[in-house]
Amino acid sequence: MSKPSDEDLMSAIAKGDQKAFNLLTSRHLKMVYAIALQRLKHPSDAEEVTQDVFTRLWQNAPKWQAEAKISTWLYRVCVNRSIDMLRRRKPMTDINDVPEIPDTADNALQTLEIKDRKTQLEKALGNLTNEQRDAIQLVYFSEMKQQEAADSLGLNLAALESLLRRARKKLHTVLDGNYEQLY
Amino acid sequence: MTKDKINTISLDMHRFKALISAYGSDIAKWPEDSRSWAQNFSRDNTEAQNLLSYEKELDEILTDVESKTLNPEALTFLQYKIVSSSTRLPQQKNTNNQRALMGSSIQSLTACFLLCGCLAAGMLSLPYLPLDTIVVATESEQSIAFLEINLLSSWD
Repeated sequence: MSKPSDEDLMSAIAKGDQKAFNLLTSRHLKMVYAIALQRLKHPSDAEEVTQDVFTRLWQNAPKWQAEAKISTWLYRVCVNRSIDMLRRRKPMTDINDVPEIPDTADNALQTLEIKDRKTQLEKALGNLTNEQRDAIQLVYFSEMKQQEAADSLGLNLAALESLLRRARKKLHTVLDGNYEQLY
Repeated sequence: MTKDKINTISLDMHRFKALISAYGSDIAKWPEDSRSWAQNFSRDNTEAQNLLSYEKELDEILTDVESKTLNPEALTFLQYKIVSSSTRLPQQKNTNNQRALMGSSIQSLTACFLLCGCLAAGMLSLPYLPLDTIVVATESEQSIAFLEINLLSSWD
């Protein structure tokens, strides 16, 4: 049996189907949470925004207009809610709440090197624009198709590719110096 | 190698670079219409393979950072929290449909009233007939009656 589309699930949710809501939430939760976390940098705030986004989806399901893509709607509501939260949040110090995952690699030197590169990349990711980070999230880590991701960001496909290219170039520049030689 | 062939390879490499520099080393995540072409092109092309391994390194670190940031257990718990709390809340009714329904029922009622009004007016009011027509009709009736009398009398 083929898996139901987002639109099928929305029709079921509009009738109060909790299983359909659970399935749709599991399908898009990672993307919504990641986008919120990228902007808010704070897991508990990202969780709050994510919860709010999906609660809105549940409550507004009966009014859903079929012409809109669910992933696009989720992305836009998530970005807007994150901006709202940033506006009302008090200024705070940048605390990294993400817990470290223990490294099981045998070679200590290699471990250090990998860790260092990860740290470098995390810093480099922090230097990307919100749009560039969102593009990476939507294209590489969500199930969105390229055109869908472009629509969510309000871009055409060529502009999305250009955005991704610039983002990758920035990340490569931080990690190594070979980009210009290869391209 | 002919000049045309060299040009084609260089165009293909240009296309390959444009795609890999945007979408990374996982060709499965490239636009659907380029995937099989890219697989075939990169199979025997050393430069393309070098680019794939170069971009793969970045993709692996990106995936690592991503998985570190998004703890699957935490996400499962968050999903449970969202579903259990949201589904307790009432859903908003579709006001557009309600408005449409309300609009159509108002229209139906108006049509009903108009129809009833017409029927009532039709039943109560007398047929319109100008006075001079009545006179003419009376005269013609009289002449018809006169003719009939004459005809009857002639048969006799």
